[in-house]
Amino acid sequence: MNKQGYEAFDLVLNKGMKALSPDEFETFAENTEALILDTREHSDFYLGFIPQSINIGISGDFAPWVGAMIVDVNHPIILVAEPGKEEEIITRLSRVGFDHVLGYLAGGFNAWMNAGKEADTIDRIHADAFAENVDTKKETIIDIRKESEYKAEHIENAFSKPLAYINEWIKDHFYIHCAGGYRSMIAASILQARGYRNFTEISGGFNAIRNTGIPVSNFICQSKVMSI
Amino acid sequence: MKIEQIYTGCLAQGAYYITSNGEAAIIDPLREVQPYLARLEKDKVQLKYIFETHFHADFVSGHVDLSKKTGASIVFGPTAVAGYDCITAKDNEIFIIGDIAIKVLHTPGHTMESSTFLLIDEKGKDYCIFSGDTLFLGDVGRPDLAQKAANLTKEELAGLLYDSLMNKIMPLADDVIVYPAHGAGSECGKNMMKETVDSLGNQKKMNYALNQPNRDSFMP
Repeated sequence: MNKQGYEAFDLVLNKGMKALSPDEFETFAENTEALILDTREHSDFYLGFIPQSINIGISGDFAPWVGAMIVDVNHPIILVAEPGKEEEIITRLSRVGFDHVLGYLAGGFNAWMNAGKEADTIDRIHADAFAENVDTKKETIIDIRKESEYKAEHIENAFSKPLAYINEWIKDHFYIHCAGGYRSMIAASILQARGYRNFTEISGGFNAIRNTGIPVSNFICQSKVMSI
Repeated sequence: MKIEQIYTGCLAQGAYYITSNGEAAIIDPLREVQPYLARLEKDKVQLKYIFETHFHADFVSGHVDLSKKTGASIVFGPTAVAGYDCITAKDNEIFIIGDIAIKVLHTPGHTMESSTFLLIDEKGKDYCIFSGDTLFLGDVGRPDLAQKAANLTKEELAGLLYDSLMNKIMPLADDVIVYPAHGAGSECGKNMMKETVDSLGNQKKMNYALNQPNRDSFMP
């Protein structure tokens, strides 16, 4: 795009800043290939979201994760955002070449609920409750942080499956966590959009897990296990 | 002369806004150009050049929009071919902005057109470099990304990068300031420091890539 030129940003913004009522939004989602991108915080998303939507929160490393998770930059996108954040989100998407936002849900997720539309939730457990109620030796635990983070320190018996490689997952029930909940909610939303419901996501992530009694591996400084 | 680093944490990207005596230049702008237009308006300066250190692969730059809105010329380093109007500079070509000058140092390696822009101040002294993805703080740009575009192997590109660093960057004075295009967190390098500005002298001391005994030891 930098080499061949691109659509003027003003046009991209105009196209994206189209407010859609819950009915219009639903029709759009059903009749087009548009991906529903929910940019709220993971702590809001898990409580209720539009079925099939993907959560990549605006408060994290948003643009790089969009680039890593959404393969086709030309894929049409419709947005769920905190009201007032839409322009910032369209701007941050266009910075990395995602120019095809076709509109946003007017009034945000609350408008969707008020219109009596269907919502989905993510099965989430806090690290403390997880430590108390789950036998980590018997359950499958998937650590979706980068390999270097996993190598530095992880729950004993946990498997490593970095978020960037989300394409091969397992059929039996499992628990997933990242460092704090941002990446594991991206993973949870994508898995659920693909029909997986056989998992529980751990809120607080490894930062919280470390402070529970769950056995973890010996710590090794991450800079020593660095691989891109 | 005023130099402002406009750093965007999410992309770990540094754009630069420079003014001198009524004229301005912008280096590696982000896609949305309103923040730059607002600065030009506030400072009552005319944007003369938009410099791109290379064809970025990790974000969309605002150079095309910014050029259309201001009439400023887009400047790329040697060998660049683009699908819109731009100046493809010669190695060592000089561009004047007010009382200062920008000298283009062709530093291929990360990509073939990659260039480092040396700012020469009002007194004619080498003041700082805008090093793009050629030199980062604590690291250098990856030579493995442009293999297809350049039709070269990563070893060949790394060789070019080594020569660029040794012949174009190392001879510059220690007090020259380094302003890179990316900082820690970017996928464009792996050992980057958390700082976003440093002296070249300190980089000569601590950057592993500037401390290789020969071309072979520099290989990826």
